Amino acid sequence: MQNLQVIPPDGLETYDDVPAPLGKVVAEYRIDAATAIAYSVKAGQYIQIMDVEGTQCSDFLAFAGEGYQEELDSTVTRTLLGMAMPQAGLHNKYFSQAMRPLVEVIQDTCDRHDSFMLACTNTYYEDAGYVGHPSCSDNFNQVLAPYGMPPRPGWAAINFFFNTTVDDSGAIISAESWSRPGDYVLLKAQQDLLCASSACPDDIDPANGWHPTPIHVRIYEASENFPKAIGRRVAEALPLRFTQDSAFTPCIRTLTQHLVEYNSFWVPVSYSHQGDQAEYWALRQRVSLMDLSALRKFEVMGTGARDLLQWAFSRNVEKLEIGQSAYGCLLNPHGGIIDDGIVFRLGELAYRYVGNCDTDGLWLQKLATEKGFAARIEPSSHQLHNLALQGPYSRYLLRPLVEIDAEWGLNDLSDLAYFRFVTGRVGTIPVVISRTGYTGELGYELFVHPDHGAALWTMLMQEGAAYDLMPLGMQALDRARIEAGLLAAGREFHDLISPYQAGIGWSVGIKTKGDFIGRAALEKLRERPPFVAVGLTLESNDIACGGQCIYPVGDRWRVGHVTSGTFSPILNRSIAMAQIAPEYAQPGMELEVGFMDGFKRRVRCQVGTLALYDSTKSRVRA
Amino acid sequence: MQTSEKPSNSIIENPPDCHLWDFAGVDGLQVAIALFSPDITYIAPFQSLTAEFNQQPCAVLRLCEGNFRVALPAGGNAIERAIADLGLKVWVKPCDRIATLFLFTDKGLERLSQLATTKSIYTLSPFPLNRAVPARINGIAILAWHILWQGQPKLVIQTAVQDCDTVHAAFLQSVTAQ
Repeated sequence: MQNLQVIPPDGLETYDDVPAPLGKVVAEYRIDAATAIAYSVKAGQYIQIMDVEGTQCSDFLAFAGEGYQEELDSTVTRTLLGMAMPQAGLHNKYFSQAMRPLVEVIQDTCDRHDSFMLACTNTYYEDAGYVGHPSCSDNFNQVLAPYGMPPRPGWAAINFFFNTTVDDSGAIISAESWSRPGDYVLLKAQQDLLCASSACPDDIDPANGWHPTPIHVRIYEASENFPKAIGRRVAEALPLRFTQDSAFTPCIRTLTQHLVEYNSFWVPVSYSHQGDQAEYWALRQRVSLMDLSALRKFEVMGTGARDLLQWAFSRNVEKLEIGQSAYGCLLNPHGGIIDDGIVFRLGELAYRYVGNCDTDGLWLQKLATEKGFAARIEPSSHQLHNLALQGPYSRYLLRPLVEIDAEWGLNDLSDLAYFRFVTGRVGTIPVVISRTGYTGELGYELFVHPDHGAALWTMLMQEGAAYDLMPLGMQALDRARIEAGLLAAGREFHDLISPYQAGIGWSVGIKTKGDFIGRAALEKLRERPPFVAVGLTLESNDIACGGQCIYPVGDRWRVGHVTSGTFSPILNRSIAMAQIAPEYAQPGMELEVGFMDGFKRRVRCQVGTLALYDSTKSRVRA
Repeated sequence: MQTSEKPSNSIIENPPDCHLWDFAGVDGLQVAIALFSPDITYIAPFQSLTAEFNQQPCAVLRLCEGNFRVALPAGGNAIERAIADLGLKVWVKPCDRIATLFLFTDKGLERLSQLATTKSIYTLSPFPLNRAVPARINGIAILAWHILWQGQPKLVIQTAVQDCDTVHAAFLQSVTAQ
């Protein structure tokens, strides 16, 4: 690349209106509202594009090559990634028209950007009656002119913080930016680049909240090594949460680089040279090991702990013994499922809730305060990471490794019953061992302090070799849980779906306990939920992986829709979980799954139990 | 497709006893089970197994959920007929556009890991038997397949016919460089 005409920063001023630098800064630029700048970066350097005041879009261009002829191309990027936008993690690069990566997304605290639209143009404003209005494209023309770049009426930019979606009709909808003050995108240059960034001047629609504000850009040294992470906000009361490794992830990374973000943790999709089919069969026939640390743990303590859980949780926890646990769900006042999870009784006044959401603790604390229960909620996810050891050989593998603490009066792991747990040691490692799982197989979950995580993983992998143990990724886990009829948050339930609709009506203690949150609504929903959860076995090998509508045979109107689907290796059939109107949910009933537009191809299916594999749960109870 | 054995005694180009066929479709897995073995359900994309077809050993490589590539020792269109007889929803065709380079694994795997690049989710080190890895050599796309062929482990490099000489040369140069 020729020597770049670098526009120097105004010295390394200290800016007190943006978060502190992430590392060693080599250049820093403040882009005033409604302007743009051009700047150069060297391969390996990092570019942090920051929204200073929030709700401000920043369009971005990048050029590589001697004459800047290789430019960032969002269509190539979308095609190569199979995603609308790159995301920190596996699908993280922006490519040029020559299909070479120009920048890589390392961190992103907004995760809502646009790759479909041009940077705003003069034409856009003129057509709206705002002649002479500045535009990002025109601003780019001006700052790129010194580099010999001919002007364009519109630049195909990556529009950071610009909030667009494509609706079902194909319309591109834009609305106010999601970004908050200090939100940023951190990119790593893959080549020497000329970049241009704008602080979008659009004040005629909500894109920038009607008031354009500045953008801040920092360039960091290539020697920095920033972790890849997506920052997510789950509640105003909780801090931004970055994707993290579990205690086991460093071990997992030695076996696969195929990791994705799941519930703010990096989790393996599948393992190198294993593949999800082999992992799946290891689970069904032998033993497998998986990292489920993304589960959230909360300690519920105090004299009012039991009353709080009786009020908030669907199961009757009154009769839970110490060392016993129960699966159920947290309910809202209209009977919807806030989250599903397991309550463990640890002591007389101590319980642990293990679910999926950081907000579960806030909800429990809110209910405790509102109802005056003397209960304290403490998040403990940071102290408890967990592995699941699942499969018919899991007991054989684990039994000789475990020493159960004497207080449980249990000498042999074989005597640990379903939904019971104990404390003890695996080798010298302190663990909580729970006879639970998410696979439809006999298995155990081992909760451990992160300090001992790597040692526990290593020991189980080593000892498991005698049983041909395989580590199991999320892809295989998804196959297994669909076969077993186990619910996934966001797929089979959400806060508008009751336990009766989701297929876990059995977990509601409507006959066994007194009043609880949502009870009045659930008493009515119980009589006839609008839909019920069923399993479907398809007659073809087409995979209905979610969203397909379900019809009576030969009719045009819908009776339900698919929530999850997969090919079941053990059944050698395409199967699905679905929500069906109760009138059509009798086992054995024949229906049709509509593929494509619902009419182009209809595939016959048969209604079955939600768990199509081992519906009597004989394997998990073995 | 031309067949030749070049002076490099460790690289055989388009051996006459290896014929590649592809089949794919919504019933691809069921075809593979019916023709070869129920064990096919145990393998993931880019994994393979040794099976039998018409009483002759063959290798079956899974490329996707319902996409398979078969290496057969005999020519002819017997597999096409066998698949047609099943009456399932797949297409089948010979891999006319693909050339193969057979390498002995002892040096081949080592050379490959030096020559080729992969996407981050794939690895050539290790590269166990009955696995395949999509990779590039000097920008040219290849599919490397570590296969048991006629009782011997072999590294089979599949590439587009027009790129075969270039890939072959890259391997030869790597020998010279050593």
